[in-house]
Amino acid sequence: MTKSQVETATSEVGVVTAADIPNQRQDERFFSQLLDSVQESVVATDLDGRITYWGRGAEALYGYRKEEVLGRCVTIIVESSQQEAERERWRQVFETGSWRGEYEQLHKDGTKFWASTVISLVKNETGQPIGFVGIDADVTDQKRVTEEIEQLKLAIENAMQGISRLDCNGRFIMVKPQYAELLGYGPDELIGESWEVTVPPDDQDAARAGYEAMLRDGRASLECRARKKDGSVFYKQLLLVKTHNDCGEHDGHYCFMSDVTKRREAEDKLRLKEAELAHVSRLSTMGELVAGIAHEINQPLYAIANFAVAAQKQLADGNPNNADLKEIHRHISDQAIRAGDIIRRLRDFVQKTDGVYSSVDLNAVVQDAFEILTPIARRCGASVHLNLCGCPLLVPADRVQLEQVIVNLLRNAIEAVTDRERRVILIYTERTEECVRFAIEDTGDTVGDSVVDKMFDAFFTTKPSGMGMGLAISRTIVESHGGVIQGAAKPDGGLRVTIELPLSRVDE
Amino acid sequence: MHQPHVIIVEDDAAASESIRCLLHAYQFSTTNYHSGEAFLGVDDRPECDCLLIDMQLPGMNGLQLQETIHAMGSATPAILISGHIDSSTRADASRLNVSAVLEKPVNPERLIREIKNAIEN
Repeated sequence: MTKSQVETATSEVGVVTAADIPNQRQDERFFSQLLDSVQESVVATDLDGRITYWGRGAEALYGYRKEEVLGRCVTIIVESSQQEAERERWRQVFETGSWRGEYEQLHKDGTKFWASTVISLVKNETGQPIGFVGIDADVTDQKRVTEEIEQLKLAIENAMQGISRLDCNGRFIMVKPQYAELLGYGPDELIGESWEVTVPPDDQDAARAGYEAMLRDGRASLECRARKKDGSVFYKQLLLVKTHNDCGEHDGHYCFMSDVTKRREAEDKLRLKEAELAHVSRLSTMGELVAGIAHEINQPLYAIANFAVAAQKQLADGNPNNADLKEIHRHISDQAIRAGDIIRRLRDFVQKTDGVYSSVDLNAVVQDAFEILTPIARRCGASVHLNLCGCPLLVPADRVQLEQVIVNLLRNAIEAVTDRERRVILIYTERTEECVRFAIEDTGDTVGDSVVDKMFDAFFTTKPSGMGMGLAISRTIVESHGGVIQGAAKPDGGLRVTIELPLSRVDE
Repeated sequence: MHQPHVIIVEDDAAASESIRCLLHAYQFSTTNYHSGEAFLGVDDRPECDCLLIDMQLPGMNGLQLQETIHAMGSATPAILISGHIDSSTRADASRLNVSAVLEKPVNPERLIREIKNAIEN
């Protein structure tokens, strides 16, 4: 029964009691049957609240039989803490003639329910008040549904600041004021316009991809920039929900929009902070690597000087061998390029990054990290074996940061095997259906569970001179790439660290 | 005239090749090895007048190699070339028949001079 039906029914009763009772006074039997026929609970009391009438509806609603309650105070239908409120209602009825509202009531078995109530003052022929009559109906279900709807409405309004509806040609057919306001338009200005006016050209492909996904899956959410009427932009989050007409044919979609600029800005700020921290960490790594790097650059310079003097000597002796000289010059340019490559790798490694992701080949990143650390590995007598997957492993990534992770892990592995009898480091890369996987294993000391549990925490280190930031930063980087990094002790000693990164989409 | 023979132990292929070219231009003959183990593992090592040994080798380092050669009773002079030389290396080198310890990058003309010195003394 809906609320309006309840109200209609109760007011009918009101008509019967107020207008017809005097005419029906002689027929008490009819009067009693009439009240018992009312679906709602009808309860009458004297002015002190003692029950004088308890209808069938009341028996059903409260669980008490008439005989149990006649003469008792009607406050049995509320919790003891609510008895004063109940009396207050009577006072109001006494003063104003009636009270109408909803409140929680008590069943005989102790369960509570919400009732919609009308209490009226009963008067005798001379107009003297002689008691009260209350009509109650259980509205618990109704109230719950109403509350759910209210909550849902609140949730939608809070989560999504604007709502619009578009036809299947992508034109606005309904725009809620807040939606228009977010975009800087007047309430009706967007009607008939295409969605394209609300998205900057650079973001339209992303929006279109979301639209296609909505057509395919029924709903889609996406984030892109929004263009306001004045041309300014902000970040919006959209939820698109496909709509259908009565025949079940697609006729457009709802577009729920919220402004996520503040969140995006906070994320950008955080990303910047993380990038700064990662940069500082790379610089510190570089500081530790500098001796090895000097050696690495010395090699080609040493070779170039030797080749150049060899060529000079041949020329000075007046007996140059053309083939020899050509070969020497090829060597010189090769070695100059080699020195340049080392410098490039180092500069790339310490450069600041803009945090922009591009499609990066993980194998190439591993190779570069390996080259940077080769002098250190050589000095420690560690042999590093690369088992790289035969095909390029493209992942969306900030290349510099990804390389930093690999350098951190390889450096840790080299340190772990230093002074060990077996100094072997294995690196694998592979591609699975869902991800790209990198793994590094060393033959270092046995690693305890307590170390494995904490190894990615900031300031946790087992090295006497370590800061404990390398792995923490590595984890931050991997996670910001949507990946997972995990460490595990190998049964035969040493550590295995794996990284899984999401694949680049094929269409990128 | 006898062409002096120099054995080069150097793991970096380009560096090794550059020394070979340099020494040939100065009329030395050479044999190249890429590690101490490779050198020691050869049955018929050619006679040589000087050893030119890189310090940072895979496996045993240059000093350990020279120590082994010295222990085998060889009196052939050796020159050690290193990216970084500390005082203990110099001290060890001086008792192992090492005539010079040179720091990379080595001036090629100095290298030739040192080799000639080592052979003449």
